[in-house]
Amino acid sequence: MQISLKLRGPLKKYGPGAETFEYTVNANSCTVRQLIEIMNIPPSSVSFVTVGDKKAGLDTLLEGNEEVTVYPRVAGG
Amino acid sequence: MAYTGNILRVNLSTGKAVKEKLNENWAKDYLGGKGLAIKYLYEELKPGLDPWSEDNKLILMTGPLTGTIAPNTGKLAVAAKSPATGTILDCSIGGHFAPELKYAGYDAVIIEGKAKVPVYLYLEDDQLELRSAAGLWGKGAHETEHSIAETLGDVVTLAIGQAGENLLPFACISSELYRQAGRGGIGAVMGSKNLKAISVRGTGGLKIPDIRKVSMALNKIKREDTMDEENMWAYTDGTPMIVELSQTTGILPTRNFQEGTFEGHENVDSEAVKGVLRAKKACFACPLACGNYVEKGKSRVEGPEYETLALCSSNCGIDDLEAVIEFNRLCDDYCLDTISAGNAVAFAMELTEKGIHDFGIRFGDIDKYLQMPWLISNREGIGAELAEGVSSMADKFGGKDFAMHVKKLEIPGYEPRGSWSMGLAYGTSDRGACHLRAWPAAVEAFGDLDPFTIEGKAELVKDMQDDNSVKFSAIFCDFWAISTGRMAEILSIFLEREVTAEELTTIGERVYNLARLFNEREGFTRKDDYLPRRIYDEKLTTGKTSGKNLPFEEYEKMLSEYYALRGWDEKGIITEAKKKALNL
Repeated sequence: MQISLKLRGPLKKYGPGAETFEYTVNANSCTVRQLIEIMNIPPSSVSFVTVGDKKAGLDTLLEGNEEVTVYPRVAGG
Repeated sequence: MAYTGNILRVNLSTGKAVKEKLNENWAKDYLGGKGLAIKYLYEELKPGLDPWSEDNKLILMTGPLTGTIAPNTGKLAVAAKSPATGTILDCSIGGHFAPELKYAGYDAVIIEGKAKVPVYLYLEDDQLELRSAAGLWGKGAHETEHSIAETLGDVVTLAIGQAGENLLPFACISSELYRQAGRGGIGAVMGSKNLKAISVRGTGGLKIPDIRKVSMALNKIKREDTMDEENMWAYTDGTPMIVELSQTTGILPTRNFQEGTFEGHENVDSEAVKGVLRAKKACFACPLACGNYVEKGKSRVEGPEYETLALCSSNCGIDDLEAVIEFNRLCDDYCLDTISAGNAVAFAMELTEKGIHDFGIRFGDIDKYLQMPWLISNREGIGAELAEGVSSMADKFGGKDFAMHVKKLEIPGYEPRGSWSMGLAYGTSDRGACHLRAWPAAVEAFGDLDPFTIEGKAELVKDMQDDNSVKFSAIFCDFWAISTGRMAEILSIFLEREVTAEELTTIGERVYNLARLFNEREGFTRKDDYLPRRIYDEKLTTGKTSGKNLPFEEYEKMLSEYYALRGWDEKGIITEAKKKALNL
């Protein structure tokens, strides 16, 4: 399945170089947690994931063609 | 080597200055920065003092690491009794003033009295001059800084603009054009003393016994714990990234906190800001460089930071980035705190739209919006009303239930109905509604915790307040997600003794309680720890927070639980046992 993936800020380095790209997962479905593992992104570096314009949990199921954005941790405010 | 051991006490009434020894016992108990500044104010200000009187004191306090190469330690604490709230007030300002003061040979400057005519201070090592500011009075902070630099050359300056001169309760202090000690009217304290600016040049340095060893240790920390994925968001995006997080979670204040999502968010989010980015800027000793120099059309500024985007964009119904950049620049020049200014403008817009009082300005009205910084700073036209802040506006015109402030300090950019812990953080903040005493939204609304429950929130807020209190006393930048263990490791190097994380947690708790004790002495109790009724009574209607309020009874329970954890009684008064345990 294909996912439109956006890796924000310092997480960009886990992608092909561009912040937004199409990513192919060799499965019919996977959870957000599995996607992060496949991308080799340390879970401790992630604060927040959205699917479409909604905040997603790590167990949210992805079935292809979603827009997924992964945000880094932020501090301060 | 951590402290210079010297404090400079300047009396503007007499024009005299004395150099005195830093109180070492206090430095041990409160470290520096926020904590030590509050300690001096607690001991030296008479209870009930009128903050506008010349007996109020303005303290510029460095920390034990200021001026060293320890990362993210370049900020300065600026403190006084707040003319906005009547509470204790400490602010933090970045740039390069703090290390310059240390190199001049001082840990702190305490400014007392009131000059008969406008002056500015020029400090170079042991030489202090009170210079006439007659030609600077009436000018913005930007022109003031430029003008002083033309006269004095390479100095670092803190300055006020028209807002500080005109004694606005939300006037800030500016440095290096776009850095601010922002909240609670700290700039108006300078204005009330006829003090236009403070310029410093330090030609000395700090002694470090084993520079090679210290450098290696700090470089390792910088590599592994500062310039890592937990912190580099500050460089890649900076605070505008939070617009997307707040929008998604429904806590982006919109049209005076009537909603938690903004339809124009994509025009003012991090992507939009990056689209007009021209350069990055860092404070002293900072490898993260969170500052964004942007330019759009005819407008340029270092910013806008998240708080400005939230309060001056979505909260005013303005989705034109160029207009927000210009509003930001004007506020920085005249020295208006953008959190309070954005709130005051938004409140006027809602009062007008609801037909309660016609200020002639409505949500999204860019032309009127851009007139506001000048009118407010100079108390002209409707600006004369907005200049007093939302609490005073509500007293005069109505709308008390949606005058968004706590203890008369306007609320920052996180909607408490979608982050219940932020509600408690605002209610129990020592200087009125503030997101820097604790920022639990990061792990709650933006993290894994349920934002719509009070469970565990009292402890979360208390722990964050204590951690931030010691962080701001040791003076580490808020944007470095540093643990108390790491703080202890760095302080051990420079204090040349073993500092433990436990010791620092106790110092943090002591500092927060001393701030509370100051406020308690001024008559603040539980009755002052509440939010505007809108938060309890009105449900949001859009996005993830649709249908959500923060029920009053839930807030009450959370507040009581918080007091119990703090060792305060049901009225929010610190118990004698707690005072004794903290050596207060």
